[in-house]
Amino acid sequence: MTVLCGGSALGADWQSVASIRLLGGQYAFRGERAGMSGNLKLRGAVAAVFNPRWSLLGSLDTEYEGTKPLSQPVGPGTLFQQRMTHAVGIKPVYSPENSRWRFKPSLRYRMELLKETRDEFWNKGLFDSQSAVAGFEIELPQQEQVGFRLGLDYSVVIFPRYRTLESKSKVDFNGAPLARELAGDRILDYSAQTLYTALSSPFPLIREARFHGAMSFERRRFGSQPVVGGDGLLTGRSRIDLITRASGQITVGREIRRELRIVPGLRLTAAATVSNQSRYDAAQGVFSPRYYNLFEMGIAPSVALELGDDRRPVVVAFETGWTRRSWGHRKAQTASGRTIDESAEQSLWNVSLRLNYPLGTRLRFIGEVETSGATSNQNFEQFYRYNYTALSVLTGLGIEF
Amino acid sequence: MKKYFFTRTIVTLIVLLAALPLRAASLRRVSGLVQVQAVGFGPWHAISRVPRTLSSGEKIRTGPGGSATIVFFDGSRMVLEGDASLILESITGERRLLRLVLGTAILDERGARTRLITPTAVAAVRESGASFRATVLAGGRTTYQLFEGLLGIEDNRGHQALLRPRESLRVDLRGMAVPRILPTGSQMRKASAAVNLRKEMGYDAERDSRMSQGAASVRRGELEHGKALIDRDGNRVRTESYIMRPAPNKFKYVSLTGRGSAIDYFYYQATFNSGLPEELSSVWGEMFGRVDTMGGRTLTGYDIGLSNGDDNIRTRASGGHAVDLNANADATDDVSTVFDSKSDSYVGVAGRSVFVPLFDQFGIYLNGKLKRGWTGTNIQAQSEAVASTSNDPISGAALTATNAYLDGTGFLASRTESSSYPDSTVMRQSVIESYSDGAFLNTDNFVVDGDQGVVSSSDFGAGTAGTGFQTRLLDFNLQHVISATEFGGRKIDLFVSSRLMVLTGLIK
Repeated sequence: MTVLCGGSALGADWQSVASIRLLGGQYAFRGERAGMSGNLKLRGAVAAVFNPRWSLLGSLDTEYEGTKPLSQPVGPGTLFQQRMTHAVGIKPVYSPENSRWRFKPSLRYRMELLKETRDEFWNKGLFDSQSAVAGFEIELPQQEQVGFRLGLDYSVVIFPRYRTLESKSKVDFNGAPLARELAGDRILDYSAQTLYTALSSPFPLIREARFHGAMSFERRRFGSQPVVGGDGLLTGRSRIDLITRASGQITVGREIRRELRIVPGLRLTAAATVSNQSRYDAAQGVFSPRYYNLFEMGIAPSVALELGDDRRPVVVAFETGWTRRSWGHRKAQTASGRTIDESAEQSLWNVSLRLNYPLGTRLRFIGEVETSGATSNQNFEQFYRYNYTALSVLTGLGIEF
Repeated sequence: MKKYFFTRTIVTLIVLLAALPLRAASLRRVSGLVQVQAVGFGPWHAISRVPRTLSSGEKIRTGPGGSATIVFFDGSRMVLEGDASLILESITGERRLLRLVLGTAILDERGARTRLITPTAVAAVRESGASFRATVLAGGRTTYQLFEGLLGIEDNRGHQALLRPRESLRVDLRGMAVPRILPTGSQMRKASAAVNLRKEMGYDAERDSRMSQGAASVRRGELEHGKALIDRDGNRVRTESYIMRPAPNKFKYVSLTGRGSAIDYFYYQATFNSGLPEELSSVWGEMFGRVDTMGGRTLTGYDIGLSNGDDNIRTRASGGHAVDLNANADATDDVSTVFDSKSDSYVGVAGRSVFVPLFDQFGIYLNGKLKRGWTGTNIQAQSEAVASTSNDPISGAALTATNAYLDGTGFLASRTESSSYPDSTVMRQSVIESYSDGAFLNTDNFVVDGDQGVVSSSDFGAGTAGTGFQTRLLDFNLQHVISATEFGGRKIDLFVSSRLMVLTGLIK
């Protein structure tokens, strides 16, 4: 549902939009079905336009997911997960006179709450996280769907409920040390700097094709997480991850006949994580340097059919995706945990079918069926699933104004 | 009469000649590249000076970013915008026939003389004037937007529509669509603001997605390492395990199990007769013993602790030395298979030398007091060990009620042990140690799978012992729940690696 209203007060023109999405459905993992549940998503933004050069944007997002999305990690007890996210942001926008450039400093705060077990409650989840981002972005919008952006974000992510057990267990009952020297406390918290750019434009080689490309470089520093040494002890250095992501997408809008359009698309993605963190598997006595190094690449062809009035079309979208993950420094393991002489790899696929059916000028029906699966040479699954199939079915309503 | 006729003819000709340009059109303003082609297929001439008279049959086109303004004799005005092409088919006093081949034309019509032809439709101004925009795309698709007046439109199939103010219509080779209402200026501004707002919301969503992915990847790392589990009751369990190095010849394996604010732990500290390498995988492989050769490194002692913070169980052994069990005097301790950690399987060693560490001092303590133990001197078989009854096996101190659990006669309470699988369907082993002082020590061992459900007996083919059972055990986690009379109702509840239990010989 999208609500648009405007007005004039406090010397500014006010505009606002909001959207609501209410879905219900079910999640299944490896053949086991979770109970029926619902998802609710509210998004809103308001803009105060003071003059042609200055405006101020504020946004609020809140979401509840009772049905686990397929993109979430699949650890133990994967059937059950409830998630809430809340975010607020503020963003002044400055457009110099006689210039198309827009300058946008911003602040954003986001909270993610997870309820995964019977004894976890809202705001008490082990993996609840909070993030704050201060950013600066410049944008050169040319036309609708055409433009260029370049931005730099500084963010801090904390997990307020997570402290290592080791840091809380300094000595054993004999008074002897039970924790390693330099053991970190809030080892998951990190600060990050992200440089990103995005470009949207017509694609020159194909008529009526559009291209969207994005690239980002992120440096994460886990200030309380010491790097593990070759002997299993902790060094004085902090973990640092460098993450590079790139994506490109081409979509082509073609009219087959009156009020029937087809929009095929192709998305390519790649991401590389380089980390200085290693792992010492205590139960096997095996040291794995640069354990978190990861390379991912994916391809996702899609096709959407739009029927009827192009302002409120019936949309049937079919998308498939395939992603390959390779941990170059991580050895694959057998089901019993024995390492084998192969780097761990995982292939993930997903297929989704989405229906968006207008029930009026504002109301629309939404139906989504998505299935995904993964296969891997990593067969040690006592803690985490690398081989699985999952299914998510959601239906619901949205209203558009 | 002749003179009058001649004069009248001259005047008529002058009037007619004067009127001719008025009935034609004039190019009044140009911007960028604007070209005109005279009647026929002559060359295109760029127009730089205006006004320039245009007449029937001439063609005019504008380049990218160019524009041209044409004023007709009755004051009607047409603006051609970039990449447009127009043919002035016919211009007379009563009618104007214009053909827009490509591009955008904005017409402000004063009468009802104009017919605008495009590849897919003909538009005719009705009544007395109209203001509209026509855009022709490649392929002939034409869009009309009417701002004032009435505009009749007929497509190539003969379908007709009357466009009213603030309506738009799209026509292509297949015919015409349904007219739509054009938004007002205010609505346009709002719509534009809404589009920008939604775009910014999209950018915020991208940023949120990055944050969410970052948090998810960190969480996934914890899950992959087994640091966050869910127990068989659906509650959160956390585990951490790591290696400490108290001395060059020692290592201490620590496993922590957290539930809520409570932390239970297990440690295994091993002492060897020589220094240890950085990677302990080879050491783990020798813990149970070595085959064929004794090797230079021997486990001389160990110290195992389990605790819930209030209660503890400690197992200590010292005086370790390697003994070839297959060559000693006791045939009952012969070893026929040993676990090979490289292949995760048991290999036959019958008839070969198998050097296993035996310990001369061994004791188990509950909350600091001796529960049971043995001593010996360079024992060559476990059967040579002598059970402790009145002295501490490690320190040698005399046993009293303050340092040992006595049976009331001054001796250490004796023990009987029973083991069973009380549930026929799930893998739960219950080991009960009963002591002569009336106390008990109960250990429930649960075999749990990746989703932390208790594994069913059928996963083990109903087996509960032997090498096949132990090999299969490596595929699962173990949960030990220990209770004792001395714990006063409390329990030690631990998740421990089954591999460690097998490698250290704690599971045999």
